[in-house]
Amino acid sequence: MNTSPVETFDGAGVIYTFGGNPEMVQAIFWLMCAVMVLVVLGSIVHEISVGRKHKKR
Amino acid sequence: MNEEAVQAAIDAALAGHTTINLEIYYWWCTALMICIHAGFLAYEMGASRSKNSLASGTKNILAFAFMIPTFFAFGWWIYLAGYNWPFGADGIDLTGAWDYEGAAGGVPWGESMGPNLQDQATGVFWAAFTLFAATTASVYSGAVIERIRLSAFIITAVILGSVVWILGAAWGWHPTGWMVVEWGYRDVAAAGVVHTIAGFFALGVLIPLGPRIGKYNVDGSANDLRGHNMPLTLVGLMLIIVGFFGFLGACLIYDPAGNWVNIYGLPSNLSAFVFNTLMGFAGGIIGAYFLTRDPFWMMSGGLGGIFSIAAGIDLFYPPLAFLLGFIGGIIIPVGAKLLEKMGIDDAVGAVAVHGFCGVWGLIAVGIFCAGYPGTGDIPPISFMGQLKGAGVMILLGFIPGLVTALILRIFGILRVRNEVELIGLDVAEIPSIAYPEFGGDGEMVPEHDSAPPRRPPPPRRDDRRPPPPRRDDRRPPPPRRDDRRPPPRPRAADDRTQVGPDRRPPPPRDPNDRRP
Repeated sequence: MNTSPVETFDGAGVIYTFGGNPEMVQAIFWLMCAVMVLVVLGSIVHEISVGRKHKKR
Repeated sequence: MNEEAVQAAIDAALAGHTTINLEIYYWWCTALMICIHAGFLAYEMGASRSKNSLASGTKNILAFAFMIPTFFAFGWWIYLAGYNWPFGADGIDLTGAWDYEGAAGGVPWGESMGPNLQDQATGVFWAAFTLFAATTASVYSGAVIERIRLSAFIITAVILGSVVWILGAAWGWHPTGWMVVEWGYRDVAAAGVVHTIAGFFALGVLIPLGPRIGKYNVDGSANDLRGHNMPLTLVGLMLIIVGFFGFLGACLIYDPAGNWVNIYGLPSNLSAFVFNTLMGFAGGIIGAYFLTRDPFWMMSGGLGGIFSIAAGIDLFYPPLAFLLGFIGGIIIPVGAKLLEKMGIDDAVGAVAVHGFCGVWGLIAVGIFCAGYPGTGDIPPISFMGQLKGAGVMILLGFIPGLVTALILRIFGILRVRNEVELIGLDVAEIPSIAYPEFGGDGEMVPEHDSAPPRRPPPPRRDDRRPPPPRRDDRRPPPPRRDDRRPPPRPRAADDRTQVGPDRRPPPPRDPNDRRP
């Protein structure tokens, strides 16, 4: 997590976007985790609502 | 032997190994890419209604077969010669802008285009590019199933696979391509040159081709014409993913010094590729699941997730690739719905999966990788370079698809007749039967219901067959008078396949029906 892509091209080795900005890299990582949690929560809500519909029938 | 001679011998041996490694690597990438076609075969047959499943499969097999000789005949030459076309030294020059000298090795009778002990690279590179070409044809193929004529499909597929996409590759997927040199266009794993071009070529064909009969009601609302075998479609999609590991691997170049570089000559490696491939794939599936919860769109989302990260596959931080794939997975069902509302019947969502996600992938590189340098005279990545590049790829796919399909429609050879479409392309065109035990309505057809009873052959004296059944045999009792089964339908002598409603004559047309 040491360089920008430009510096990386000069031989540092680590290549990824925002490589020179560790805070941004970590923010992207936590955003990915948040998205997965959101999807799982959405799935739980969906299953509960579907279950209620079937129960009413 | 002095020290220098030993070193020279070691270098020669290593160079030989490097060349052999290169050959082996591309050989197996090419083999793996055939899984893409196995996957598209299953995917499109499953996505077709049972009356069209074999016709869809035949189309897919022929696309692959026609791509190989046509790419040998002119596709490879276009890649080598067309990187600057149509821009000559003095402006637009349609004939003089080709690099005839540089592409001499790519003419079909050139020394490198066949067995040559001095050339261990051309054959395997040609093979990999041929499989890329066949992939573009397969991408387009799914969109037009169930109504395009087989001959029209072959013509359009050859134009896409052996002319259009490879011209785009010469422009934007070649270290001296004009889009690369002028704009710093970057598309490492072909999001633009394969997926955007193929997706928008499909859109260009779909407009003159028109929707399938029954897709739209008179009031313009759309019906969901579901394929006959969703599990087959899902397995096919997963096979495509397997094949794409060969495709993406073949986007890396194993150079003579034994280093990995991408198609633009920039250092990269397979580890970078695999991080982002898997993360984009997962993001695409989860994004589509979040929006639709439909396994068809989830698997399409997985594919779209890979295409969303393909252009910057060697640069993205993997969680960013996940997020880009997630957005791609959301774009697909939304885009497919939008096209459906516009009256465009894309049977498998190919335009959304490949076209829209390809564009998104190109733009994402402009947003997140701007400033990354190129080699030599290649400018660094820029947002505007990527945006303009995406525009070129859209037009390069869309215009040839539209023009070719319009010409075919003018000659009346684009679409099958309505009667053929209603009865099913399999019955009309294919001398094989997909599901001989089943009728068109999915009901199993017991042989004793439809076939005339067969007389047993007269017993021979030495016949060792078991004795005839006794009276207490457990055969089912004959039908009673109150049996509610319908009476057996009389069957024509040549009626081998369909006994369901597909054999019925087409219903009378609604005068307000806008369908072709």
